Amino acid sequence: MGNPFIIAEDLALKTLVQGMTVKDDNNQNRPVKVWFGYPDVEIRTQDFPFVTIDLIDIVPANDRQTSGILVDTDNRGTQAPVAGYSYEYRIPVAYDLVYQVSSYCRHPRHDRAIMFQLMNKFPSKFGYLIVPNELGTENSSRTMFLDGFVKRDAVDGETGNRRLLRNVLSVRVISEMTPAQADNAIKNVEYVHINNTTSSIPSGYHPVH
Amino acid sequence: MASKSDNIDALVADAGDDLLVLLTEYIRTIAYKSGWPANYISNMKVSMTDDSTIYVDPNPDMQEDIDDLEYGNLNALPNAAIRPFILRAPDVIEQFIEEKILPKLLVELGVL
Repeated sequence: MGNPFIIAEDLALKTLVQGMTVKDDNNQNRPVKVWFGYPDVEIRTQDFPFVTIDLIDIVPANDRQTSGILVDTDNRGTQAPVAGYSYEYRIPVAYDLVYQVSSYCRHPRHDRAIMFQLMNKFPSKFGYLIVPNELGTENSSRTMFLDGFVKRDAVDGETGNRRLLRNVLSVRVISEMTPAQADNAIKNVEYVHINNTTSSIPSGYHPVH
Repeated sequence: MASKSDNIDALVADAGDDLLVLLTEYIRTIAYKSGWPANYISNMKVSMTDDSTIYVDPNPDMQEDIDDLEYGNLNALPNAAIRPFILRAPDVIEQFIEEKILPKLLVELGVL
């Protein structure tokens, strides 16, 4: 089985970003590792360059929200189709998932190489993200926007007076959450236990028989 | 006696001031929810240029710290507030125009 809303996009984004390499005098094929959030201090000290992915916001996409009932045979890719059986459900809730993709390195050449590769992965408003459905049987191609790019280089203080070359990209991925996922997030009441102990009943109230 | 045009200009000018107050409250609310320290929250405001461009206008002395809060640094994860504000502000502005400006404008124009 694949992954549901948010987790699927997280993994798809990591899949898109990872696999980059940079060159220098010591290593012609130095991998750029990718982390969700920050790695531990020990790891990031040893492993420059690296990229981090942070989910920074989930915004209701009211401008593209519609309503109504849809019918299909695999419940939007979450159930194996059965002949003669169809699913009927409400149109999903539209959301934009906003990510921050940050790169960290010490070497200016690494910085430029990473910048070039990231710009190719996030080409302004023409980006897309391939996200598998929950069954793993189909992929959707999600429109993805590069909303912002900021250079956040630092040379002192936080970096122990070593230069730190940092790029921050703000990336927005369109998504949607099916009502089924919302329903699944709510626990059904299975039992109602009525306390039939008749002591400690406030005055004015009567026990349930 | 003020002309209809003057009244509309005054209405729009007043509405602009009210909108900036509303948006400043809004960005401070987001910053608070994002866990920003109180002194940075109170130094955030939303302003407007002469050509009516709305922009986030933090205290310049705090710019570096605010950027660290927004984007994180090597020691801290990002706690974005400005970018969520930018994404949500159009809805707030739209609602403000619909509820606060349009009814008065329609009255002033004699439509209602």
